[in-house]
Amino acid sequence: MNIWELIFIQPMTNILLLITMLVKNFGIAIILFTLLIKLLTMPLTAKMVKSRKEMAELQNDPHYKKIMAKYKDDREKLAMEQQRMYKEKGISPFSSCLPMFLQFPIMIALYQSIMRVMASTPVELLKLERIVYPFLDINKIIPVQNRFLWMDLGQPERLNVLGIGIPVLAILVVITTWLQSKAMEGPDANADPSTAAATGSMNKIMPLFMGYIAYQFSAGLALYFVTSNLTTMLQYALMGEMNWKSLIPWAKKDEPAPTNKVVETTLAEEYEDEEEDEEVVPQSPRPSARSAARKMRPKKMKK
Amino acid sequence: MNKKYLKVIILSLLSLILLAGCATGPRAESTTGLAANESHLFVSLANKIYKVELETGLEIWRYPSDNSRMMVYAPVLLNDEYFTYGDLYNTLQRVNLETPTQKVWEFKEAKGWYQTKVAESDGVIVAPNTDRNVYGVNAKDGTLLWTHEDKFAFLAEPVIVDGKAIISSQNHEILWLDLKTGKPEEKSFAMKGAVISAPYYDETLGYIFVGSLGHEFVAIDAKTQKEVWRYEGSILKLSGIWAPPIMLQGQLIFNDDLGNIISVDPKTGAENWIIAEQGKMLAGLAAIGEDAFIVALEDGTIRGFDVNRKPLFPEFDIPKGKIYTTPLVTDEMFIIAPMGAEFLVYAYPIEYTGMTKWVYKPAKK
Repeated sequence: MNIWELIFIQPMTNILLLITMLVKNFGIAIILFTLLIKLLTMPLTAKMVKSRKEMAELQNDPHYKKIMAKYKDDREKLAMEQQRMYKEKGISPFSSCLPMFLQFPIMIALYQSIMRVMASTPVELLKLERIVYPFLDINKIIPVQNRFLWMDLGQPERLNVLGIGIPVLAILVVITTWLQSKAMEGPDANADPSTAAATGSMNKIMPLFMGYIAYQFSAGLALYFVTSNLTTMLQYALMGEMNWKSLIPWAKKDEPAPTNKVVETTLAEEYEDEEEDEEVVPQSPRPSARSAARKMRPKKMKK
Repeated sequence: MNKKYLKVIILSLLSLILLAGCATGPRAESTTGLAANESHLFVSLANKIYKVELETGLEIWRYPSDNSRMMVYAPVLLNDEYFTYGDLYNTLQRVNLETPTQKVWEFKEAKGWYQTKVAESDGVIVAPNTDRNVYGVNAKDGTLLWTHEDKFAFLAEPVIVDGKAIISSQNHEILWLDLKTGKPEEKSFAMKGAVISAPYYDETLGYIFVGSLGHEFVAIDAKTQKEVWRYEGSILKLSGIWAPPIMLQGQLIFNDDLGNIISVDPKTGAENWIIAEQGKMLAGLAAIGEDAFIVALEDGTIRGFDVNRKPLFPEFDIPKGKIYTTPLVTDEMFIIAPMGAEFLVYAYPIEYTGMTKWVYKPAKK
């Protein structure tokens, strides 16, 4: 057994088996296990969201933009100034990535442990049997009963309505993946047209792609996708980070901040008029992204 | 190409690779199926069945010859005229052996895939399916005769004895089903663990031998369905058993998935000897002649022993090969079908000299 299996897969698989044994239903066990893991990784998610928010605020800070514009041709100096600002504001540029990287193996292990428990071939069953801890009675656990509601969690799911097999879970996967990606869009997501186009395409492709996976593979996997999507949305809602307006087509959207190109041009021109380099001092109190955007706009209009 | 579209395509491809890599469904963990008649070998792997000449290793045909949708790992069932198999797209079919363009019939009523080989007797095909049903199908026209529903997927090949289909159930039991009606005998045989191993029938003794995931190996009287003896390990604890046993010179020899090889007296279950922990071993033992057997470990190592545990030849391995399929033995050679190795099939002479007799890899078409 390799280290990955020993540290992640084996304990998580055994916890999932234990939950299955306790609740006597694998479908409920998948839901509870996904909730448990999401709950345990909530501090990491919160940290990631907070850091991302701080970075976004900093990037919309007019002072930061001034620096960007001023040193756009001197990368070394720009990096030094950025570092100085990060330090002054107590922001680490990697602090939003680190929780994500820490979560990544946990989420992969969560997925893999669910797949392990859903062993449906002799080779998979024997491999599952090898990693069950001795204190769990293997004869009471294996095989796991895959029936949940109308589904056989080991087979692709179809709800038979008047002789037509409707892939309910796959449809739910498409809807929840789309809702999740839309609801988690920041208010400035559409600021840059090229980024907006790419994000828009991804928001259309990913739900369909995930839906196709759910349609083709076992229902247990689709159940995990749906639970995971809903839990992630719930997490973001609890943190006040859900962009509900983006889900409602007719809702009035927040005005996007001006694009970086406009800001850079404006500020660069502004700086051309200045005769000497002045020491850059952080402004206090720090304006919000939206107020920064408002401050920028009149100058552009004047030009 | 516009950068934004390039970005979208790259992200989609990365997601696809990640998810495909993570997906360990039946397709990912299924293993090569081997079957042979007197002159040809039939290899089931992914979207083709290959017919290969046993003498030379030359491909005769591949089925289907076009890119029709199919996925099969179960070994085919052979008779003089036809081959019959179930695939991962829930279809059971019978095809003409000489002209595989002629499909005799298709049975499409199952809702799950076919993991294992089917059995046939008296015009009835007994087909275990992962949708928790065993199907009795008319061998002539592929029509449904009966079904038997259970609580779990059926993963092991049945054996047919005296008008009864004897089949392993993951619901910790061995079932006796009437071949004509599918009706189960009132009594089944209770096992401790899930049974994924095919029962082995010894005609002389009239016993069924089978192991389970519950650290047990038992002998059952095929007629009375009563336990004759039970083996649960002596100095070592048995691990999970998938492979059926072999019978050599009055010894019943079987293995568990940790590579423990055990010889017992088939009448009493008394232990003769043990070869302990050879290494992870999912495939079964393959008898060579009347007094020797081949051991194929998961890591590609091949060993040979006689019934007194004396090695037949120095062990060798198939580079990069993972072996899950029990080797197939003919009068002249033993055949290994590893996963992930350079070739799909390796044939070695019975009197192993360190050289292959032939190797086979499907040519790209």
